[in-house]
Amino acid sequence: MSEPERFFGRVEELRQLRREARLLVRGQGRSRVLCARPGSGKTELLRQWHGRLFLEGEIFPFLFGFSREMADCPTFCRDFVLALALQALAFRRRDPLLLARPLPAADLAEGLRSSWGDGGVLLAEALNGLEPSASGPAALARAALVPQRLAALTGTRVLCLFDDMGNLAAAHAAPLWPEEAIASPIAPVLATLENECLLPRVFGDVSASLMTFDRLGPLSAEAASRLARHLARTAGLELADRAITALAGECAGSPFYLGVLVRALADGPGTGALDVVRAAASAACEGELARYWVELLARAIPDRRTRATALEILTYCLREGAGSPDAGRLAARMLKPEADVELALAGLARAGVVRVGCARIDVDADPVLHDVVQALYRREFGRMTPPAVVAALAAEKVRAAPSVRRKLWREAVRSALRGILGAWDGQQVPSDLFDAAAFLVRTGAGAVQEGGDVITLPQVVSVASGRVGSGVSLPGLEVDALAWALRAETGTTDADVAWVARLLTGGTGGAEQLSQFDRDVAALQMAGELPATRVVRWAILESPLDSAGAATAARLRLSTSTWPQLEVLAGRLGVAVVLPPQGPVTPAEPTLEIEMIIPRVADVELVAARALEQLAENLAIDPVVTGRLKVAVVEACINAFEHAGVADGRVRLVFSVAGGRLQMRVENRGRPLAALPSPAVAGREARGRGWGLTLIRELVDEVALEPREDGVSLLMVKHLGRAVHG
Amino acid sequence: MASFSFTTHVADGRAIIRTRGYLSRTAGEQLEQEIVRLLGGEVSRFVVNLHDTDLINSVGISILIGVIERVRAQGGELAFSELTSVNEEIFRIMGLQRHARMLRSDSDAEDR
Repeated sequence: MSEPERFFGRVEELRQLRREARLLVRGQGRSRVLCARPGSGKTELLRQWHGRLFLEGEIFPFLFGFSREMADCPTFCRDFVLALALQALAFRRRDPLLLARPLPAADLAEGLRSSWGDGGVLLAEALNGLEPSASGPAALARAALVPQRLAALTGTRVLCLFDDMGNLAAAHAAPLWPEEAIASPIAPVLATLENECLLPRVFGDVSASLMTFDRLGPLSAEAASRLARHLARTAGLELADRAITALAGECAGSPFYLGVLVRALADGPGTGALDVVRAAASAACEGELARYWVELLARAIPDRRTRATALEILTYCLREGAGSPDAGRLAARMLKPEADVELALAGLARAGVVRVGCARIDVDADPVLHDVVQALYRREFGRMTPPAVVAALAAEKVRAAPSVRRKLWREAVRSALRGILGAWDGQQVPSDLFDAAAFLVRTGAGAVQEGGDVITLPQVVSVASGRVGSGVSLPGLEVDALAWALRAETGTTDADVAWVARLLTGGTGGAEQLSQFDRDVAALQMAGELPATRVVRWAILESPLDSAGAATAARLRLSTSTWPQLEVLAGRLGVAVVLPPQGPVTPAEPTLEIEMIIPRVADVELVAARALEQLAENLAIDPVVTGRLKVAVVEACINAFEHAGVADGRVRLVFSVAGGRLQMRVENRGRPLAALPSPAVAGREARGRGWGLTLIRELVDEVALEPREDGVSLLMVKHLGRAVHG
Repeated sequence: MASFSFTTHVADGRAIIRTRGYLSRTAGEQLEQEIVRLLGGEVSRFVVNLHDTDLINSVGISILIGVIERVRAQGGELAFSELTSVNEEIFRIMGLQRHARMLRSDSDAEDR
């Protein structure tokens, strides 16, 4: 049957087609669907029928084959209209040879205008109105409408012969059929198909077309409903389940129909709707089918006022990991937050209403989210608790993680977040919780180095007093790893940014420190030591920001993390962090101040170092920290003597303790340190010179050079929060 | 301010110098003299044991760098052993690890 000379028989089919043609001529055209197995001769029958109609000239037959490749082609819509225009011109001129001789679009449009009046203008405009790459439901609907408009405008009887329509359905079923095609009046061809293709040779009466399908796959909603009710009524639930399972396989390319069928079954009287739907979900909750399936449920079932069923279905699907954004949002809206707040949050997360890792949750941004948070408020603390939202989200994310370690992770996360919640002051939303959850999401697919996957960490540099350092020093903590964990929050990759971090200590609230950090980074960018752009500035805070600090961070677009966050993240990384003492803030201890003036004598700086050592011992400062501070003081003294010159060979030192800060001030008279040589330059000029400030900046938390009229004052600060042991 | 001293033990062409106290400019110069003296003899390998030196300044370290370069120029080697964590950090910041090995103990020098 695939070759013209071998076309024979088909007497009954041709007779039926002739009858349909007569109806069309009388203005009673309708659509037919020709469904048969592949290779059984559908296409050849269409060609033969097209040739005969073309020669007769009474009906304009538009033949178009929806090959799989063509249906997926981005220029499909334009190809469709081009074929229509060419065949229209050939039909108008009675020249079948034109069909084998494609014309350029411009020539085609001109030929149509000159030979077919209004119809030619319509087709020419249709050609011009479609961009070559126009695609999507709207473009397809416009293209499909052109034959109908041609028929209406010219009075010509038009019969669309669409071959292999199933390919179009497979390519466009999802965006077109559920909403666009059914609801839109400008897609009559597809609408006809949707409404009427219950079984082979089911006829409609909306427009004139003949469409071929290879298999039974597509089922209309009405057909599915009829079939489902019939099954439920006559064969019972068990058979209905089996029918659904079978159809799930049959409809693999058209999940829409599976959903429709299940919807109909669920609505059927006397059936165990939920059991039916569960059976269908079991068959369908894999891959793309699951997404379509849940979306359909989300739309369809609430309309049927089967709220309880819908809730159970959505719960089931969400727990099975089959949630779509629509379903997630629906679940969050329909589920009672008090009953299952975690599930409601999971739904919100799927809907994108809340996001693990975001800096803040704006509870007023979404009424559903507001309700959920209120539920948490009632259940958890008696007040609104964004951290609990995040804890639940994190737990949900871990639950969904594919790793076999997710049970351990879940427990670890819950434990860590409980700890943070316990320490939360209830006043601010600690971003560390969000970031901790973000980290868990990142590690859900594999830790920093796990399972053979080695992840390259970004290089984090520090900025100390306006100088770029070689790394960020935190006790036992891999800051680079933290940057890797948090980079998703900034939408960056390792390759396109430079991470710059500063550790802010002292609990001063942060606004001033953050501003200084911003200025330092800007200065270094101007000096070319940091990239001019693509820098992520990351402040690590010892204590939560106050409102001014938070506002400053937001204004400067600084990333911030706090110690509790580091604790969680470090725990995930398997490293230890020495945390600042928790608990209520103790009143500031009385200020302790030691002042000493030392003369210019060889190695006299050792005296200052020993004095500092004694003070540090009394303050229970960690000996290693003390060792660093001694070096810093020694270097400061050497520098001071160096710059004091011989005019006044004395150096004044003041060690003071207040507010958890150890301040070490070293002052001298003489020329100011206006131009400090770099270590490299100093190494060339004089051995040992120029390293002093470099070392100092590495060894203390803050350094400030304060030029004075008669000399220089160098202030070094060490925050004792993490330096005190015991 | 006599805060620095050292002892030297020479055996098999190797000298182990154990320091005590603050390694400053003065101390660095004393060490330099000692090592130059030993270099003139049969010693080409040196281990400076800093176990009892808890404080070092940048000038002293810079003198040591010069000494290391001098020893290497004569085909010898100078290593440091038993550094405190702070001293090791200072050495790292100043890049001394590029010039000399850091040993956990004096005997580690024999492994090479």
